[in-house]
Amino acid sequence: MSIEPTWDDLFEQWKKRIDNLILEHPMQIISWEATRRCNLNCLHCGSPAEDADHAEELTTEEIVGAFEQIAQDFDTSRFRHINITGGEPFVRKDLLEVLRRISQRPYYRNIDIQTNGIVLADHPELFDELKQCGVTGIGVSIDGLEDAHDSFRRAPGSFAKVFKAARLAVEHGFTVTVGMVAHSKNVDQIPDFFELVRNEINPRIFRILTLDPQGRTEIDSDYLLSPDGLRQVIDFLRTEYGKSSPTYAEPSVTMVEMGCGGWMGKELEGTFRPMIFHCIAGIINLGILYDGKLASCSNISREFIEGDLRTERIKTIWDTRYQRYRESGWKKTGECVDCGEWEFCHGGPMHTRGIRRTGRCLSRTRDRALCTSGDYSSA
Amino acid sequence: MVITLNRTQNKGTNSGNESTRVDEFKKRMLQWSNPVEFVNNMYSSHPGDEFTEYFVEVFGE
Repeated sequence: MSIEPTWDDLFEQWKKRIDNLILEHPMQIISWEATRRCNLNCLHCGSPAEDADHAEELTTEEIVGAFEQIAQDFDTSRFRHINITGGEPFVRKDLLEVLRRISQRPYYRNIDIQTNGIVLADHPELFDELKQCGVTGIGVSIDGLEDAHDSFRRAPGSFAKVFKAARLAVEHGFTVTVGMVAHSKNVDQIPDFFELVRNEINPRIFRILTLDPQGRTEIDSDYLLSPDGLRQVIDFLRTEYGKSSPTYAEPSVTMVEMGCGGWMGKELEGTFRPMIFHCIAGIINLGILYDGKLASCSNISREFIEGDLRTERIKTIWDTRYQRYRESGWKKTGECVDCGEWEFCHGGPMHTRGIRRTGRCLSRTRDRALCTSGDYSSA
Repeated sequence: MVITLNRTQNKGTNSGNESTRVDEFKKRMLQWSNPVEFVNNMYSSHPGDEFTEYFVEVFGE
């Protein structure tokens, strides 16, 4: 007679696989911050153009050379995909040339691009070219209904353009993600906005991102979610996930998720998004920043720079400089000290960490760390 | 033996049937060979058609 495992057994097995992955740290995802330049000036941007020295941006030959070097030095059989972020990637005039050249290699033909949609809406002919260059996914950011989006983006008309771009991307067969940054001013719109997106765009993924105190968003910003606001987000996701997850095997169904939103505890994980979360930065994910600096992902504090591809080989840096992602005890401070689930989350997503301003986890609600499952359960 | 969570798993707006299905999907996620199969960095779209096995296995019949 076989005995079915308990939840604790299952989580222990899962943890062992995480520990093995950390030990092995195979590089599987490359996040390339193509540029920090942008054709918008959003209120909340986590990677603002004004913090960058654009003259330092990698040249066409440098970034193509970096991908060639990775192909030579790493086990390409383990590659999964390339994420291209910004800034706005489409302001790089050579973006298609770079894509055309790197996608000659078959393992570089699963590429997704995160965009504000402005250029794609104005130049829909780009979709066919992108497909030929190995682009499979398009991620767009839409932060609520039209007024909320346009005011947050500080760009009247931007909602219409991004909506058009997202619909066209679906029509052209891309895997489309609509990402919504949830904050105190738009959290009430989530259910209505989700229905609009599902009915009018029908993306594969509807992703809610919580606003973090990075870039233009200060740690005392009124826009950060309160604990009640976060609870609203989780309640929405749990309800929608509970209803629709039995259909998620069907590619035409829109899934809900909370992207990189931290470890929510053994009870909540797997009940409001189609995954059990663990940060992958520096474990399977490499970040190449606009100026050739190497990080663990492209959305991370620049305090966490591990090297420079202009001066060292990427493989050397990956093998010798990323210990802080693989031995994470240094993150066990603040609320993490007494948490009984440290061994599962290892301090949560790295993009919430910053030394310069707080020396500890940059909590994503105004009052406390977002991750505490007890906080949600006690409601 | 039925696996149940002992605190708040079934709390909230999900019905009993929904909770049972969600628990089954969760068990499959926890047993999936690559523990971060779906986890991505927050700016990424999910991979395209080549990597659909996870969704079929976790959320299929």
